[in-house]
Amino acid sequence: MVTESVEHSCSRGLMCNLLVMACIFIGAQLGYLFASYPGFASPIWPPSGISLAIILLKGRGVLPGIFFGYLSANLTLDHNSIYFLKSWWGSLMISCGGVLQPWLCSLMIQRSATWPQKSFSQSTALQFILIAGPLGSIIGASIGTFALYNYDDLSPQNFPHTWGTWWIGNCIGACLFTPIIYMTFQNFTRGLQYILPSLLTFGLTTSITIFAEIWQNERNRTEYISTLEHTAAEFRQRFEAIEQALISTKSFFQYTKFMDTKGFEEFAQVFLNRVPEIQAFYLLNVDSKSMSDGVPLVTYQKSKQEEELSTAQRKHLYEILGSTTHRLHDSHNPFYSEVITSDKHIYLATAIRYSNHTPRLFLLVKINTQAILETLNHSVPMSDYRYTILEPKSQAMITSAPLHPQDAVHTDTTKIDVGSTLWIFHLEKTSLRKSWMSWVIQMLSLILALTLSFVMINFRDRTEEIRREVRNQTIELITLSEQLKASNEELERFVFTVSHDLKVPLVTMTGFVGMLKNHLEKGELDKVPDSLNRIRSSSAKMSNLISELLNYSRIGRRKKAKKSCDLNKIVAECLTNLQYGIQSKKIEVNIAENLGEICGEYERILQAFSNLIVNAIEHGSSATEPRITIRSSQTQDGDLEVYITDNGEGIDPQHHQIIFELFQSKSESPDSTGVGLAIVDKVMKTHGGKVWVESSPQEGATFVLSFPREIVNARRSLT
Amino acid sequence: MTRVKKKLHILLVEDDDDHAELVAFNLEAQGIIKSLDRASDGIEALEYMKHCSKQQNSTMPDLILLDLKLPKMDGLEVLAELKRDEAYKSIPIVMLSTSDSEADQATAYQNYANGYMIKPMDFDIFVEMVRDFSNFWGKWNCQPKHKNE
Repeated sequence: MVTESVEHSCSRGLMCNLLVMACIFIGAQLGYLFASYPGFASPIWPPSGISLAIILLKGRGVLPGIFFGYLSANLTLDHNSIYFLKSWWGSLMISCGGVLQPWLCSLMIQRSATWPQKSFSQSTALQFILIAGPLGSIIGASIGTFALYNYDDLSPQNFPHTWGTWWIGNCIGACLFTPIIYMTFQNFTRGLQYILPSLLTFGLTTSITIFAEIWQNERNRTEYISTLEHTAAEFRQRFEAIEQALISTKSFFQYTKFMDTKGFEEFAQVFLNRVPEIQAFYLLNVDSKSMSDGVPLVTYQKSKQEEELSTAQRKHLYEILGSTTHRLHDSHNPFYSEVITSDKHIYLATAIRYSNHTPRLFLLVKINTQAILETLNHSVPMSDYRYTILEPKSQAMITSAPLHPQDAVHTDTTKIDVGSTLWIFHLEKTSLRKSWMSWVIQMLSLILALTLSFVMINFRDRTEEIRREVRNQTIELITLSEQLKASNEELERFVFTVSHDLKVPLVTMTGFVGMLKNHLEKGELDKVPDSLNRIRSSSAKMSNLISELLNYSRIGRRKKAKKSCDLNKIVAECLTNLQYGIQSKKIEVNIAENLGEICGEYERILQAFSNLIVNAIEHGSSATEPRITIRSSQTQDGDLEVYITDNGEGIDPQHHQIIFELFQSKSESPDSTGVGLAIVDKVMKTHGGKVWVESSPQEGATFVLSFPREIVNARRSLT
Repeated sequence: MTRVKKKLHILLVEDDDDHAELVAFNLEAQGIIKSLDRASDGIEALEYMKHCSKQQNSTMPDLILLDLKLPKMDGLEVLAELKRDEAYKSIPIVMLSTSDSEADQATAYQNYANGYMIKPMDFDIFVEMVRDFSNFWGKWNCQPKHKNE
């Protein structure tokens, strides 16, 4: 049986995990839809939200499902996808990150204020969203980006962008998907109510992301094209500048039949200073006269560091000219130049004619590629671009600093025609740098998701809360109004009873005042003292009654400080006060030890006990051996019951309730004001307890005071 | 010719000694008293009535003055008791109480009280009340004769 249920739960767990895996896989595919540069991460990543919701609902058991979901999603990426991971390790690490993030998030959420939540308050909703979203995403983003960096060639420049996009993607995914999935499981109908706003938010953030991407790409494209054109133009310009510089020296050459070394040196100096792109400068005189050894005479070179050229070198230079000489020959331009490359150097070969004769001089200008490079580098933001300018025949190349191979996205090649040579200009751009505008848009979309999910969580719950509040307050109001009604009724009854019962002594007083007047008129002075006495005692009675009533009304209204009352002490005090009555009536009093201790208003409790003992004395004295017993016990609920028993005439059962009401005293004693037992009743009520009597005629009476357990001070167990 | 006031045998059921004294004094002063008996509570009153009916010579009261507020047995109960009993029900009972509550009055009449007086808080008025009362019951009212007479 046991194995069966274990197996059953195992298979259930397996089913659950497979389901989770499928969900994560689908969510991942959805996320990949938003794949775009920059950032090798998806700006909206549903699996982070799905996984967190499922962990909160089902617990740790689903972790394998999540892990394999991520792994399967990563490994099934197609080669052409930008997310394609070359290394297994990278996928594993990313999957670990994908599991770790929701798991740690769930632990943090469960540890934070009051979880699990049936409903969210504003602060707990905020906490939930912040932990699930921004805080938790740090984990996933960091692990993922680190994995890519380590195992998959993420360029350092790309690190922050990838991390940022990953973080935003996980945030949005968590904010949108966690609340809705979690709540749908908790309460399906309520979950349904969330679906529409969720879809709306999802649609909105998706649109914003896509818009941001499109806009970004557009910008990149435009920038790229302009940079391409600009750089090509720049390149051409440099060469044209050199050409122009040479043309400007035409006049110099025009009027020089042949040059002497010094003259040429001066010329060269000026010329070289003007054009920094020239590295070296060779003047080749192909006059037959100077062709001493079949090699033209080189008459100048730029840098003094370069030694006098050897024959071999001179020959080499002539060879460089090569076929250019024919073209230079054939051209009828008095000043013809051409760019040639050799040995990966670039030369500008210029033929100078004096007249219509064949050219005599060839200027070979060695171009300082470094200088050109520097110029180009100034005009192109080097962090974003790489270019290669290549002369296909000679493989001469000008190239900027290498770009991370992963970064090169946009590439384009164009041909530049410079100095009648066709160069290939290859421009690569990394469009992986997000512009600040794009970040702003993405952050906006994140804030939108956060706000909307916060509002969503709060919105419905608030109405539930409000409804409950209103219900509670209505109940409170009803209770209060009922209390008020009862209190008013009591007051009315009280006033009625009071005015009623005050009439009695008043009648006596006025009556005997009249009698007194009568006696005095008739001169019956011996009857005067009697009348006076009656008047006096009546007024005393009235005053007594009034003060008892005031006392009664104050119980519960004017609360005295609650303190610990030892019941034995209280009883002892009562007996001391009443000892005259006890002794004169020869009443035997038995008091149990350890009656108990309660927390209450000392004076009131004393009053209650006093009134009951007075009653016991009065009514109990009719017995032959009057006896009063006081003992206590504790009920099962923990209430403390005190029993005051007398063996007097007892009380008729039909009167057991009424004697506690005001002025319903069945006592014959003239001192009885009818308030005593009412006071006891009220005192007990204000302490949350009650009083009742157990008695039958001629069998004495036991008054029971019941104190609720909340005010009983725990002590050693009582009898 | 002015009528002569009869003298009546009155039972006064009143627990308060002072009130009893006042009523007794005034009734005496009005000369309506043949004999006045007092019961301090309902039980005593009923016992008295039983005692009276057992006597050879009828000493049943001509009139009962009954207070509402009595210990041990409520005045209305006594009234009901007396009016139920064949022997006593013809004796006129006039309630004499401090209570001016209409409910009490209504209940008293429902229990066949023959009258209801409210004890005034002014002695002169008290005197006047007892005088008019005595005039009516002593001079003008015809009392039923008892069987034994």
